[in-house]
Amino acid sequence: MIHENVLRFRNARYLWWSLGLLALSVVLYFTQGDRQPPNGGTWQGYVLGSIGAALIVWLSLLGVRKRSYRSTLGSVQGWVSAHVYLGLALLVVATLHSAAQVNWNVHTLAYVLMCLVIFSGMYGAYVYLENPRLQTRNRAGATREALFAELFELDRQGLEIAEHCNPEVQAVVKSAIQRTVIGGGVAQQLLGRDRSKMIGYDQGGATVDNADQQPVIDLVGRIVPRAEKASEAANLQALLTLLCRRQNILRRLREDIRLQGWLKVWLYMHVPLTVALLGALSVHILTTFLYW
Amino acid sequence: MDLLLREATGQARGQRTFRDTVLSGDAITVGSAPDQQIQILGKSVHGEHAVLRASQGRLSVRCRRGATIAANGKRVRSATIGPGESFEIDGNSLAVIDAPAGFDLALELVPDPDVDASAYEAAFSTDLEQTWLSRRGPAWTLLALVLLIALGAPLIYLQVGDIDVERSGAGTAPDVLWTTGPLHPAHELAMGNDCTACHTDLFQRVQDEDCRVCHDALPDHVELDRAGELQLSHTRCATCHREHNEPELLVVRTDAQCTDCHADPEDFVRPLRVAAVSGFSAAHHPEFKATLLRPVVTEAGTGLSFAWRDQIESIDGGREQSNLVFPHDVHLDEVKVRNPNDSSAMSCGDCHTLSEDREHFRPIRMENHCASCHELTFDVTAPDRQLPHGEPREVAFAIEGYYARKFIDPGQSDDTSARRRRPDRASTAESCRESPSVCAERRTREEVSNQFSVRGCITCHAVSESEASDIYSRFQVHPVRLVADYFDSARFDHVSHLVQENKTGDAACLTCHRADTSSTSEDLLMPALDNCTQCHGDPSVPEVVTLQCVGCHEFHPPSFSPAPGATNVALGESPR
Repeated sequence: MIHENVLRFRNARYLWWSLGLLALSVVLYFTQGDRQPPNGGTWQGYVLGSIGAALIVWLSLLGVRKRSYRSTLGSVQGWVSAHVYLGLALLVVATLHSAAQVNWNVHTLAYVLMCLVIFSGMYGAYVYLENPRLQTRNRAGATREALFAELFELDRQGLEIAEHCNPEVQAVVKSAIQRTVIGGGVAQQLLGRDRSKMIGYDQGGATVDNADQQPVIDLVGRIVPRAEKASEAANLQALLTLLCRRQNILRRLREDIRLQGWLKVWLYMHVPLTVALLGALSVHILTTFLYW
Repeated sequence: MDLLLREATGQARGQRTFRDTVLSGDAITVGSAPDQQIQILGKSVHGEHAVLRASQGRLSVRCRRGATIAANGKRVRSATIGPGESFEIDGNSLAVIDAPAGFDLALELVPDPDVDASAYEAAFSTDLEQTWLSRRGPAWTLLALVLLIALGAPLIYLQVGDIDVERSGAGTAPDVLWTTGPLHPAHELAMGNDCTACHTDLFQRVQDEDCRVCHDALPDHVELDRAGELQLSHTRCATCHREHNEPELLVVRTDAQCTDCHADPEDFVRPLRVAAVSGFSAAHHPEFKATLLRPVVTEAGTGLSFAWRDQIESIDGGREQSNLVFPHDVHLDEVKVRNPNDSSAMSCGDCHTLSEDREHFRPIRMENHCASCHELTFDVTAPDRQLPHGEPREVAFAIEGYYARKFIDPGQSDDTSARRRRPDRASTAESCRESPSVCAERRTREEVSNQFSVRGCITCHAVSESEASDIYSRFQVHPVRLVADYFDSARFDHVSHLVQENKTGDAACLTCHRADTSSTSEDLLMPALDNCTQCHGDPSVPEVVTLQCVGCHEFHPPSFSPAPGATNVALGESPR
């Protein structure tokens, strides 16, 4: 089966809509020039501007449509497909409307905001197509919840096994589990940075770095041969296996959070800039008639 | 404090099984994170959810930021729970039970049976929603900033009205943010960034009155008092004069601006006979018509009275009636006519001098342009004697005076007569057998009649003779009027046409004005449309020099008042 994504929705129906719109816009643009240079003030400019404004308002309504779960006004997938293609077309429509004339004014402000929204949207479309695939591959088919459940189990078992180790090892392993950090702030989520800590072995209770859980694994690995009893060695061996499994789970979780972060972070630009754009667009239209 | 935690771990034989743990510390932490002393799971259980403290035998619960507990059926952020009472954290029930000896408090925990380990994620910040990032806050902030800066500030400035932007330090008025493009440099120089110079009222298009503040002397396309009669709608200045364009453009020159109305003038200018025009080619432009002068002759006393009226005629078949006798072909024939000074052939420029407007010509005057060849002598024996020009009565007086003196005092010889004597004549002296006064009078009559009807004045002028016996007023020279502006609704730059293809000088002039083949001054030497369309056409015509309507016609009717001296009348008379 052909992989179905929003860009191929209904045989890329909205791609053809957009191309048609672009052809119309280009024709409109080039019929200007007999009375005055191309700009937003010719009748063609007004038509292009009206199309652009209507597109901006409609594109903004995606946020509303997404939340209207009971709406029967087309599927969300169809809306997203049209959103992407018509959003790209808007860049051309608005550029033709402005005739690429930029200045320090509200009109250029609206244009720049629109460009920023579209560029962030381009990135958004890219990660929406790319990241879910990467995430699925990273989680090896499992869900994030399943990974967390597995981690919880490993943590519980780890703490239990640690109970049977000597007090120093116990303190280190317990602290390693308890001070494992997943996610965190914006930078930690987006960069997958691991700020995990643990109590250092033989260091008088001082906290040391436990990034990627490698220090605690190295430590247990070093201690295994020093075990005095066979039961202690088996215990440590089990702990070591468990910590390695745990490291693997944590790596997948961090990568999942990182990919999910990039999947969403652009929206923190896209949405506020869209609202600002709607404001600037309103001012642009209003001031055009304020100083007619 | 020492707290006994009794945690339900499952069911065994119908009985709940518990596991007891002893917790110590000033404050006991509760949450889903692994480092919490009481670890409970749930979708909305924070990693660090709450802190428990003992407070006079009761349990004080204080939630961390953003977390809540359910106590007494309410969601609260803090509560004090007494023995026998309980509270919930996302389905996990925590009840304060009677503390066994040695413990400050005892707590029974029954975890939410519907929650499994997958809820462990809630212990961590795994979503950007859980960070400081927000969509709503920045959205409102940006929106407010945009509205405030781009709309609010200029509006406040306009409302307050008397802010001195120069002194306020802002440098420029905030409404400059609304400009849609740069002004034409001339306007920018005059008005700077003062938008209100033209945009006087909000939501109102620029009014013509705003333009007329400076451009007050410019005539309108149609006189305002005639616009109603012609049922014309008013054309705003801004219809053609568009500002804020890039590249700058002050006049929309496109033909469509004119042909929108003039392609079908029947619709709006019925009282005016305006021909339809939709371009510049034979098919789209009416034939040229020249405004010519026509004398209106009426009898007045013993003579004639002349008035002049305009008559519009087509180029083909149009005739001039200037009352001047002038064959251009003779004057341009180098065999027949040469300049008296250097014997060169005459050229157009000898008589026709372009005026400063590059279109019209300075008036032609007998004294300046004709007299160097056409002397007004009348007696071969007195070649230095010339008749006055322009005053027929004075001519008769001059002739009379000359002959009276000649016959009364015949001894006074003309010192030039010998020199200018013709070889075939023995003497130029005229004999008089009667009294000198009779001879003088007879000779005067002969010569006056000669001048006005045989040679002299009659060479160039139309002369009529009345029945008056008085020779001073018997002859009337018809006044001469030359048209100064044949096409008063069009402009033409002669200078840029002085070189045409490979022709210069007179040859260039003759390309349009066929004076070299014109034998009579009745010929109308103005070119017709096809003469222009050989080289010019509207933008739709290929391979010609493009000529737009405004290339020849002006929207604002030219207030053509000929420069001093450049009157519509060339010879003698006052301007028509």
